[in-house]
Parts: sequence; C-alpha cells; structure tokens
Amino acid sequence: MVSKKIVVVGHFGVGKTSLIRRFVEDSFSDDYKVTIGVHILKKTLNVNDQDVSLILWDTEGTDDIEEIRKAYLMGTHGFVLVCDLTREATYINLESQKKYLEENFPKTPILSIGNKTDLLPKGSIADAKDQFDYLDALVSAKEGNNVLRAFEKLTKMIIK
Amino acid sequence: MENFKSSYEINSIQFIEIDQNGIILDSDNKIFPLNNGDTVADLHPFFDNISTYFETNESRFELTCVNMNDRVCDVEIVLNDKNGAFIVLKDGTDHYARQQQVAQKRNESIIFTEVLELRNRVLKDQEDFKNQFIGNFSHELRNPLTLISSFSSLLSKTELNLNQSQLVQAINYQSNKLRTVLDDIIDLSFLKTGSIELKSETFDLTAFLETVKLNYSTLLKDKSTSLEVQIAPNLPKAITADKRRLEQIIVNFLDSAILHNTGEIIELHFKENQRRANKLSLRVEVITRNGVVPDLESLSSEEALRTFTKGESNKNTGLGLSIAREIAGLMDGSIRIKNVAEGTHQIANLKVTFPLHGIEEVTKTEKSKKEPVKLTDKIRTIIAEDNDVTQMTAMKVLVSTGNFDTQVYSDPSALLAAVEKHDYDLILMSGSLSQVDAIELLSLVKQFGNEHNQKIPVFAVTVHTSPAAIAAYRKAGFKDVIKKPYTDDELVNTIYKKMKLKKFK
Repeated sequence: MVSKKIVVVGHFGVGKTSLIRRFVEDSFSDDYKVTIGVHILKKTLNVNDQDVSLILWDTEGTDDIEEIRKAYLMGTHGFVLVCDLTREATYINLESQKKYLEENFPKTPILSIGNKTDLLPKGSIADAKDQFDYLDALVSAKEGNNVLRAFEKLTKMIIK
Repeated sequence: MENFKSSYEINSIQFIEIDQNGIILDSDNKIFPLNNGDTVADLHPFFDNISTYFETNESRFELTCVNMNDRVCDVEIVLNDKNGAFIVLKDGTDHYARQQQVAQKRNESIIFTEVLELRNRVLKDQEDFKNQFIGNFSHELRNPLTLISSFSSLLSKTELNLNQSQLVQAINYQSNKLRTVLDDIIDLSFLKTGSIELKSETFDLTAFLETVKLNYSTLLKDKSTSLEVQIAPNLPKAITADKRRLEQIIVNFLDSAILHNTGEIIELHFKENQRRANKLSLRVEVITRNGVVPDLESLSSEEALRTFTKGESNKNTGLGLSIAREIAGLMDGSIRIKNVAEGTHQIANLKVTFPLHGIEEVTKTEKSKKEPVKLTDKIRTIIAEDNDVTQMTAMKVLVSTGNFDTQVYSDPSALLAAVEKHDYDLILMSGSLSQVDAIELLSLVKQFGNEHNQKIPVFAVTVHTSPAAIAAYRKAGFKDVIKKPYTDDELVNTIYKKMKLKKFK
C-alpha cells in the first residue's frame, strides 16, 4: 500500500489536532490542549479505488511557518494549511505562508482549510465562502462537516 | 554500536540500529521494547517514512519533541557506513510536559486576548451601526419636523378663529412631543457612547428651582396638583454643576410623578448627604404620596409599553429614566426608585461642587418677553440647502420676520458663483450640499467668495450636533450651529444673537 506523509501546519489554536482527530478517530473534544513538537497519526483512505496510508504529522502551532524545522517537513507529500475562521490573526498571513511552502516545497500539493465553521453565525457560510474564497475548504472539526472531503481532496491531489 | 553509544552520557536514551529498509538490527530497549528483525515502523508511524532520510546528501538528522506512544522523544538519525542508520531516542517527556504547561498558558492567554479584541470590535461595529442608524433615522425625521414645528408656530401667531387655533395648537403640541422623543433618542445614544461631557456652571439653587416650578405651573394646575419645593437650609446657596442635565433629571422625576400621581401634592426635596471641602453629595428627591411610579427599566417590555402608552403624559418618552440614569452616572451619582406604601420616592444622589466663599451675584434665569426685532435694512441671506422641505421652512421663517432677503442655492457651484459676484450678509449652510460637506464648502466660499463675503457669518444648519461635530464646525469657521429640527424662534433668535444687528437698524 502506498504511504504518503501529510503535514498539518498553521497558527496555534486553529484546531489542527481536532481536525486530525476528527478525520482519524471521528471524535472531538472541546478542551484545548496545546501541541508541543509533533504528533503523528495514521489513517488509510480509499481514493480512486486505491488504498492510501496517510501519515499525518500534527505540528506545533506557530504564527511563523518558517519556524517549523525543515527536518519535520522532509519527505512531505502534501500540506494542510489550517486557519481559524473566527480569528483574523490566524488567516491574515495565510497567503504568504502558502507562498513560503510553494517556494520551499515545489510541486507539493497544499490544501488551505478554514476551520470552525460551527462558530460562524447561522446562515453566514455562503458569505464566508465569498470572504474566504482563497481557501480550498471550510470545515468544522467539531461537527465533522467537510473534514473527510478535504482530506480526500488533498489525497487525490497527491496521488494523481 | 558500543563505540557509538559511548559518546552519549544520558541514561534515558535508546539506541537502535537499522538497515536501509528499516529492519531493526540491534536495540538496547531502554525506552521501547523492540525485537531484532522487526521493522522500526512498527514502533511508531514516525518511522514510516524513514527511507526519506536515506535519499538526501545529509548524514545526520535531529527532530526534537516527537510524541511517540506515551513518551516524548528527541530523535536523532545518523546514517552509518553500512548503508543503514543509528537511531537515538532521548526521552524528554518530563521536560516537554513542563514546556507544554507554559505554552498552554501562553496560548490560552493570547487566544483570550484575541477573542476579547474581536468581541470589542463586534460591539464597536454594532455601536457604529446603531449610531449610523440613529443618525440617518433622525436626519429623515428632522427635516419634515422642522417644517411642522416652524409652520405651526408661525401659524399660531396669525389671526385664527377658535377652531383653527385649537387645531394648530394640537399640531404644535404633537410636533413638540415628537421633537422630545427624537431628542431623547439622540441624547441617550450620545450618553451611552460617552460622547457627552458635562458643562459646569455656578447657579443659584433657589432661582433654578423656581424656574423649574414655574415651567410646571400650567400642567400642575390642569392636574389640580401642586408642587412643594423644599431646600434643606444647610445647602449652599449656589452650586456648580451642569444645570441643563440636572434639570433633565428633575424633569424626568416630575414627569413620571405627574403621570402617576393621584394625590394633590408632589414634593421636590433638595438635601445634603455629605460634604467635604467644596464637594457636595446632593440628594434630589421627588415624592408622590399617592401614586406609584414604576421603575420602567425593571419592568418587562410589555409592562413598560403598557405604562408608557397610558397616554397621559405630555413629555414622557419612556427613555427619560434611562437618560436620567446615564446623566447621574456622569455626575458620579446614581438613581433609585423606592416604592413605599401608596407612593414613590424617586431619588438621585449626585456629586456637585459649590463655591467655598459664596458668590456675590448669580445670574438668574430670566424669561423676559422679547419685542420682535425690526430692522431697517434687510439681511441678505443665502440659504444653501438641497432639501426642498428645509429650503421652504427656512425661507418662510426668515421672510415672515420681514428682516431677511433670502436666496436659495442647492448647487455648490451656483453658490460659489453667487458669493463671487454679489455681496451678502449671512449664509445658512446645510450639513452637506449635493454631497459636498459643509466644512469643505465653507473653505471654498472663503477661497472663492469676494472680499466682502469672506467675512460674513456662516451658520451650519445640521442634524449633526454631537459635541465633537459642533466643535468641528466652529473650528472650521462657522459662526454657530443651528440644530435641526428648529422652531421659527430658535432659528431667528440664534441669528439675531450672533449677528451684529446695529448696521441693519
């Protein structure tokens, strides 16, 4: 079975760990626990009739993506760049973070995700889609909305 | 392996030797139990991509703080000359647990601050929206209201039969009531945003209360009620406070008392709570012995509406108490509604100051009836206004005095052409003219107007009457600001007061 390394990066408190937990274990906890260093989890996904073993690297949150040690990112097949839709500080520099990854890891697919759609006012998702049109997916780790679809999308981008 | 291990001194370290395929060749099992011949990827998914490290030109890799099963390790991968690698796992679980706690507190604090900032921004946006709404709403109301107030006032001064006179009085009465509602909404809005500052003036307390009593004499007579004013003898003769705002509190108390009183007397007491140096805690109390005044703010919205719509008051907008509370807050005081037996005590405790050495003479409020002003020469006046209703109102009011010769301009360029060619004595300028702001337009008038017109007084006639807006108009060179809606008397008296009328007599 083919194995692919996906590194999840983004500002602290955006819900990277929750996103991975929702994807891998289909669970969620409201308690915020800071991730130190890196947690690595595994999940097999069937995409285009092919089983893909995803090795998910859940990195420590940082507002400066360049702080992440290169050794963590070595051999990465795809990035998930996560922001919190309710905190401007987490998405204000998203474009430059994406650019940094594109420059340093050319040809490595990047999926930008806006998390916490559950915290947006009811009925405002359509407005958020317009406002955050530079994001590839709006998800809610808490409610599970779009999480699987986002990882499937990235996996397809990786194996195509 | 042993030679390599000897270069490390720390106990909680595990050494593993693997081949290029990740097969374990040797392990001292200090942290994780491993079997030779197993793949290192079985230990943890971290090692799933171990082959990556064999594909680079580097021979040593360090990855700190890798969460591995129940431990947190620093991982060192050192490629060896047998096409394999040594893996060093250093257990830093305790160290990273402490670091985690610090980071947890730091991040929670940062996120909390961000959330607070966001909430503040949302509140500010809501406040801005509310103020914008109130501004637009009041603007829309003020123009027609100005016309109704002014024209009904003008009409009441003409020869009318009894029936006509009553109809005009009713219009006047209702438009004044609407003005009060509008003023209250705007007042409350300014008070809530803290954009109102108190003005201090020293005044004679007895004279002030006499005026208040006089203002209520007709209403009280109609209600067969009398107002008993008691001033504690130890109170200073004069106090320093914002007279208008103090009156607003008293008026609110009295309006509510009159609305709910079923007895013959309403009492107004002024007492001293305490004093220190020239600072005085003043107690203002309005007492109804028969009739309970509800605290509108503590009632449910339905109850408040029912009370408000009793329809007996001529002034009560339902906002008065909220306004009074805000004013009391500005005066470092508070308001309390205390119901007792069949009546109510409305109490305001307010901080004021007073002159320590007394004052020789305090200006008394005079309500002298002024003779109508008659001028020999007419005041050549430009009405710069693009709203038809306001144009007509101002024109009618000014022309009715016989003292003004008016010209209306609704286009800025036509106005500028006029001030360049002809001499005028006065300009009444709307807050904006065809989307050109009055302040900007005034600077153009000063720039393009002829020498004579550059010196004439220009009044702003506007709905924007917050203290900041008035200050901005004055700073820009406006002689004064006339607040919309205005009555005919307010408009002409403001002009007479601020203009040098001698040359027109």
